[in-house]
Amino acid sequence: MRRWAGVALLLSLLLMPATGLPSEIQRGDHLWEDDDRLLARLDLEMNLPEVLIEALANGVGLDFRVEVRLERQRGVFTDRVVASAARRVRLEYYALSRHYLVTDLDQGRVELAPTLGDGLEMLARRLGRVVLEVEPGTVVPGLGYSLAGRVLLDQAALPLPLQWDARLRGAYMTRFGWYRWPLE
Amino acid sequence: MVSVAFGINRLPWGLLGMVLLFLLLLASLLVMGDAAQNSARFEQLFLWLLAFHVLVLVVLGTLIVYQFGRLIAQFRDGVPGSRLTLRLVAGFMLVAVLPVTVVYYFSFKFLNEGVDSWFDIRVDSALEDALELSRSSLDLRVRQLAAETQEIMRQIRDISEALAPLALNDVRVQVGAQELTLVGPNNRIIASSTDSPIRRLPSPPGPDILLRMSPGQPFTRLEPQADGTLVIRVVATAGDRRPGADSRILQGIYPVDPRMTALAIRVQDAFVDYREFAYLRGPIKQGFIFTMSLAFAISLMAALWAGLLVARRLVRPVTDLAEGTRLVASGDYSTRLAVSRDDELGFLVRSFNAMTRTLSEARHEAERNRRLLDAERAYLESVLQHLRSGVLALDGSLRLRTANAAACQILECDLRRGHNRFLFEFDEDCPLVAQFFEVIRDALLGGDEEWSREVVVFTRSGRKVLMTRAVWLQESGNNRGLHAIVFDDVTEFLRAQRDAAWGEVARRLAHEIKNPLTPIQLSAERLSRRLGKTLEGPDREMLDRATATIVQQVEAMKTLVNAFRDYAQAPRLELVPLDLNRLLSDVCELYVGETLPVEVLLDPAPGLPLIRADAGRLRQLMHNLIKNAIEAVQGRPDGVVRVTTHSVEDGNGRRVELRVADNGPGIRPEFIQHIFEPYTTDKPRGTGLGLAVAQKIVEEHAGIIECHNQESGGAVFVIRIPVSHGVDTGDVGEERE
Repeated sequence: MRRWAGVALLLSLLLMPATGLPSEIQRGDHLWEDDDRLLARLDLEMNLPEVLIEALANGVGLDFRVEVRLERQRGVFTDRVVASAARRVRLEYYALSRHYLVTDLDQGRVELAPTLGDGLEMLARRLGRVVLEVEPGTVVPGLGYSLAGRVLLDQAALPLPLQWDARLRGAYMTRFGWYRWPLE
Repeated sequence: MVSVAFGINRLPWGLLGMVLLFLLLLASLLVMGDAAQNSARFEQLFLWLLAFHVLVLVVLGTLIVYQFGRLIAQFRDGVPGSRLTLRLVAGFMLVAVLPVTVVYYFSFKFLNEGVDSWFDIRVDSALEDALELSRSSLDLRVRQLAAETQEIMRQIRDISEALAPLALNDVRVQVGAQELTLVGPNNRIIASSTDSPIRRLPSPPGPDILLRMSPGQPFTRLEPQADGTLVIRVVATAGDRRPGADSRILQGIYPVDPRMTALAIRVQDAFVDYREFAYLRGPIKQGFIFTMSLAFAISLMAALWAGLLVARRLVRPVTDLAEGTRLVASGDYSTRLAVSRDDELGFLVRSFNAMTRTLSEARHEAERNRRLLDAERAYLESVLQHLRSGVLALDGSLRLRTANAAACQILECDLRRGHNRFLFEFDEDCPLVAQFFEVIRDALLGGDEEWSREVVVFTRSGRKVLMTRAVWLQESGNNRGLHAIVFDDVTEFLRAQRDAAWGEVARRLAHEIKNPLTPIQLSAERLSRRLGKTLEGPDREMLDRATATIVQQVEAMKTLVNAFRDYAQAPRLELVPLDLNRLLSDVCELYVGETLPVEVLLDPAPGLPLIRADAGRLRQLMHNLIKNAIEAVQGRPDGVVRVTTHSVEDGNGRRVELRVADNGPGIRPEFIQHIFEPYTTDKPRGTGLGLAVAQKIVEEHAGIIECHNQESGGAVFVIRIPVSHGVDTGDVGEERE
């Protein structure tokens, strides 16, 4: 009987509807640090589905990526991307000290969080700061610009068996969709 | 239809396509299996491969369902070959499904149980224990460093800010710390010492650390570094005071022994890998099972599809043969099957084609012979039908085999409807045939191979003389044979001979008898004149009677001779378009009167066509016939002579028919045959030439005359004269008469 349990599980997984991640970008803000450096600040509410929490607890590291675009609004046409930047942050469980590690994969900076909640806060904080390098003269005053940001789970960084599930069911779908706010 | 494939057409394109599809599927499955082991390829290919395989599955499934549905429908409709195809497909299915299912079962079992066997609770426990050991070892170091940091904090808590850097540096070197930082109120760094030759900015404890600190308890934390090393962070306060605005805290960062770090991290990595692997056990199995199921499903579908194709390919020649055989059985020998194989089935198809070709040629030959025979038969039939002689063919048992049109006409019977009947069976419907057979039966049964005789049969219009000849035709190779009987109606010929003889007699009589009659009459009259003056009394009376008798008889003889002359000498005819109704009306008018004891009724047909005729001769003909009819009914109180005309169409064309009928006693049968011959009369004072002249007049007008007795009584004379072509009906001018 057990041997058919796998088939039943497989079928149930295939037939089970995908569950989305209730995370979202709550607010977007920006700040010109310099003439050619624009700091985008995203206020993120990070939550993980049970399956990812379980994976995290079992040693699976989760890579998140934040993408930010500066777009010029062109009416009926697709907005043109003027500048873009991304940042990758990993969240993983550190069994030796029973902490959660939040590693900025771009800068190599590591932070420790004693709980998952702290780790998610750190994650949100890390992901919520992205610097866009804007070429001087690109942004023309008077034209409409907007910033767009999104956060997604890097499924390719998941272990392959989890990628099956992620691909087949979209169970780990963590796309927030593009959140836009005007450039002022 | 001959369709033989050679060269490139003989390549099994369907089979090649199927093999290519299978190879493509196999390659895609291999790539999918490889992608399942490689994250980058998985990312790139998985969805495409999955979509491709699902598409292939859907297409194969649709094709299989369609083919099966079609096959079952053909099976229900009894299409040739469908039963065999179904059986073959069932066999292929069995052959394909059984091993694949067995392989799938054991693979499934192996995956389920084999993957589980990779994990052992003892390994799990050992790894957990090792990790716990590492933790304990590190905790021991952490606690030791916490105590040392606490002690240092107690020593320097009241040190002045000016001396603090030197003191911290000494202590740091002494305890082997990586960094020592003394933080004052508001998280202000009072002093800091580090082992790094490059001075780096000390980092004070963050608010998360300060919040977690307990009074009198140092905060400790093992921290991994980006370079893979471990450090121990200890934050200590002085005494039991909580870190606050007026207190100092000391943060020490101590490196962990590299060997211990390496061992601990190795243990942790092994533990994490094992836990991750154990956690992924389910998804791994699912992934393998999914790939295997996909491969199984595709293999099964492909096997079914291949089975269907192969079955159809195998059965197609058989189906074609069955259909071809059915066509041959129904007589279509032109059937040729396409030869598309070189195996035994191809040989069978070629043999079938050779057989049908031979049959077709034989049939064509037979058909050609049959056509020749038909042509010969038709020619013979045509000859027979156009013969004026009657021809009958009887088999040995005297069954009628053949009769031509002349035979039917002469014997007044449609003999062709009586094919295969015995001649003696023609009795009531064909009395002449019965009479004819009665006469010739003895001759037929007599065994003579050839004989001839004159056969006389009697019809309602008189007797017929049939000059009959027969011959026995023996068929070669067997005892069967045919009586070929040829007969001619020589009645008219004999009559014409007689008429000619009578004409000659009449001419001679007129010449030999009429000439002496006048001197006889003159002599008798002279005798009467000369002797009558000298004789008196009884002698004179006797002389007068004798001379009167001579003169009277001479006159009678003259009349007779004149009649013979009229019969023998045909006058010159003046044929003009003639309205027979008008002529009859004129003639019949002469016979209408109160003194005449017989009623003459004229019933002309309206719109009667004109005929070309001599009005004088026809008038004579009508007088003859009407007088003859009146004489026949004379003495009868209800005597009626009915004269009617009709327009009739017979085998010789359109004719005008004149009927003169009476209700007298009729003609005695023995007279009917000779009634138109001279000197044939049953009247005491007739010359016997009236009807002979009538017949002569009719024949002068290319007509026919016949007479017969009516069933209601009396005789009827029927005359048919051809219609004058190119002349309209008789309702036109009088000058035509």
